[in-house]
Amino acid sequence: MAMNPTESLLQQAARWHAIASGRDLSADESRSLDSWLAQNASHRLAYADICAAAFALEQTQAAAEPIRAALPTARSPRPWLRWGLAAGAPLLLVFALLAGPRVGPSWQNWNSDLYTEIGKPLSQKLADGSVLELDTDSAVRVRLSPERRDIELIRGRLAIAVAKDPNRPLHVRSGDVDAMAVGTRFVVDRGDLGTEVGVHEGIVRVTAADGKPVDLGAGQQAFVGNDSGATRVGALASNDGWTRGMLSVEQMPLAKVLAELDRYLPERIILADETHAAMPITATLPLDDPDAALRALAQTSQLSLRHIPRIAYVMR
Amino acid sequence: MSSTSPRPAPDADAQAIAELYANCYGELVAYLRRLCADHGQAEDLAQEAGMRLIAQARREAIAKPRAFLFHVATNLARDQLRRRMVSDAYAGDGDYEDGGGFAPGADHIATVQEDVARVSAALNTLTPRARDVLVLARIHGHTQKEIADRLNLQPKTVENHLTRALAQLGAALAGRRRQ
Repeated sequence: MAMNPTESLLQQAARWHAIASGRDLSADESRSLDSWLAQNASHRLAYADICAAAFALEQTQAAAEPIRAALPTARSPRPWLRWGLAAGAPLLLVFALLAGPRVGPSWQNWNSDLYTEIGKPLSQKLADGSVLELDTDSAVRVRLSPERRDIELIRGRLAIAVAKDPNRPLHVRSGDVDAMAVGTRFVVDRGDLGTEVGVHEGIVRVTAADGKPVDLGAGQQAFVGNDSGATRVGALASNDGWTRGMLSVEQMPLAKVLAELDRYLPERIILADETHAAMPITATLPLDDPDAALRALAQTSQLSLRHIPRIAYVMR
Repeated sequence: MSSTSPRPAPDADAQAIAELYANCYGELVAYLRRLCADHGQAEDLAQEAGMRLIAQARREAIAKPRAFLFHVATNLARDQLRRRMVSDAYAGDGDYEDGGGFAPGADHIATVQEDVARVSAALNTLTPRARDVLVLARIHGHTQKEIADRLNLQPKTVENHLTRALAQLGAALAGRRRQ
């Protein structure tokens, strides 16, 4: 079907929706819509704008009111409208959401030098001899120059064993946080709430947005929140078992263990009942088989698993 | 309503939301694949939209959960498309000026509510005829032909009313005025 080239893109996009009213597009129409969309990213965006408007329209008050034009009884509303009316009662069940959104990983991957898929951590020797271990679902940019070595953690978690080179400090940047080392081994974990730096060997200088450096020794860790920007120093608690493909936990709250496993699974995990969140877990779980790890964890905690597409519920 | 009437089990609603998501998943992925032309990304966006539906249902009852799910998914896709346009330097094309206002990782729940408010306001700017055609088509699911018969119009006139009305609502979201 030919689109009128004098119409604005929004009008062209809207015409596809107009044609598809109350029926499915024919195979031919469907192909020509796909080729129109493929012509230009701005066609896709215009089409998406109209889609958003149509879905917004369904949610307006006006959608629930009878129309003004006098009509014989209209065809019964679509099933989801009836469904929507039945869903009025407020939810009492409290969910624990274990981890924040996974926003835009593919976009981040395009802008990275090295990234990992979910459940596929990797270890990479850099040109300076440092060994970079990139955990599940993580991405970095790496810049090595004669004066300094820079790694930017775009997403996820890394561990690095830094090759000694006093003249060329190695910086790991995670948002506003900078961790600087000359020769050492440390872990940087960039989460939704902030960045954690844990030092296993040597000394690492951590500088947050406030510009005040804090030196961490082996066995120490620091957390810098995205909100406060303040650096909190404590004993090294996060283990680096993930670099060996294992998650070993001792008396760790169930919600935290699930959040760790969530990193490795294409599925997202939801804990159905928040009262289970604090249940202490002691276990050693295989991260190279996160599905098995999740099943084992559910069994240990006497909870059951329910799978819906790409989401796993942990429930009683 | 009588206070003795049995309340549904507390997780009945959560169960219903989970089932709605599960039942819509295939259709949602197909829709997003058309929008993004990338199957992996379509699945990721469907999953993220499902997580947000579940999280939002935890905070308050959602009157139209299916429309909400597809709307959130659409806004996630719009975000990705904008990033892709920047990445691919498609932006120079110039014949579609993006209204902007979408920070990466913006609060999509607030965005959905704002979209609904904007569309409500835009509805009031439509002529009564355009508005009736729009509601009959998009809310009641009538075809152009059915609407033409009932309102005594030509099918092509119905299509033009619908096209202009939808473009006007779309422009309200894109932050632009219809030309």
